[in-house]
Amino acid sequence: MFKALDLDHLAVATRDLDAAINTYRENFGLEAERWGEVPALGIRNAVLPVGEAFIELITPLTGEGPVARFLEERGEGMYLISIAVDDLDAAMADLRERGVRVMGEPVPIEGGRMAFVHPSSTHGVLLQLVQRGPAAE
Amino acid sequence: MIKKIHHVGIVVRDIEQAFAFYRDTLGLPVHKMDTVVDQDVKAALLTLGHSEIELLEPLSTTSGIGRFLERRGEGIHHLCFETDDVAAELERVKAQGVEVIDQAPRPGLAGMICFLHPRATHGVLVEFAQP
Repeated sequence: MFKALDLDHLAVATRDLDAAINTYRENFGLEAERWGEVPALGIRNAVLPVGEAFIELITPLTGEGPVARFLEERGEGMYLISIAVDDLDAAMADLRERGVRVMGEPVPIEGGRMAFVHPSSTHGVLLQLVQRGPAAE
Repeated sequence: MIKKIHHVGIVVRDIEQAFAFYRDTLGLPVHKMDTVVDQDVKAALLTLGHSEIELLEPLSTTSGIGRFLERRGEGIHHLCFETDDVAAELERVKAQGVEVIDQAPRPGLAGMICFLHPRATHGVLVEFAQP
C-alpha cells in the first residue's frame, strides 16, 4: 500500500519561459526560485514556490520531444500534475496490480524519484508520482 | 496575496467513474460534492495534502465545462489559487490590465471565487478562491 501525501507541483508548458516568469510575477506575485536546463527531459524550467507546492514553468529545448508536441497540438497550458507519495515502488506495484497504465520505471529527478501514469488511466491527465527524500537532495 | 494552490480542476465525463481512480486507487478522500446550478456542472473536491483535486462533470453540452469536454476531451481544466481576499486580488489584477472572466467575485464550490481569462496566463485558466 502507498499513500498520496500532497500536491507536489504543476507543470505548465510555455513557448517563452522568460515571458511566463514575468506573467506569474506580475499577476500572482510568484517568484522563480531557481531555473535551468534539464537535458534528460529536453526542457528548460523555472520553479515558482507557492504554499507547500510549486509551479514549474517548462519550455522545450528543441522542436522535438513530448513538451514540443504538446505545444504543437494544444498550445500553451497545464502539462502535468505531480503528486507526492510516501513509497513510489509500492505505488507502482499497487497501480500495476489494479491495471493502471504506469509508464516505465522510476527515474531520479532533483530531490527525489518519479514515474508517470498514462493519461488513459487518469481521465486525460498526465500524472507524475514523486517520492521526495533526503537521499536525492 | 496568493497563499497556495487551493485546487486543480479536472474535467471528466462521469464523476463516479473518475472516483475509481482518484478516490479508490489514489486514496484521496472526497470532502465535498455538489451541483453548481449556474454552471451546469457536478463537482467533487478531494483532499490532497494542503491542496485539493476538483473533479468536474458537465450536466449539459452547452455549458463551459461541457464545451471543454466536447472540444478537448477529459483532462486538466484550471488552476485555483487561494487568497484571503478574493475581491482585493481581483481588483489588483484588473488594475494591472489583466483580462478577467468574472468582473466581481461570486459564490462557488471553493468559497467566493472568480476566474481570469486563460489568455492572461499563457493558456492556463486561473481561478482565485477565498474559502
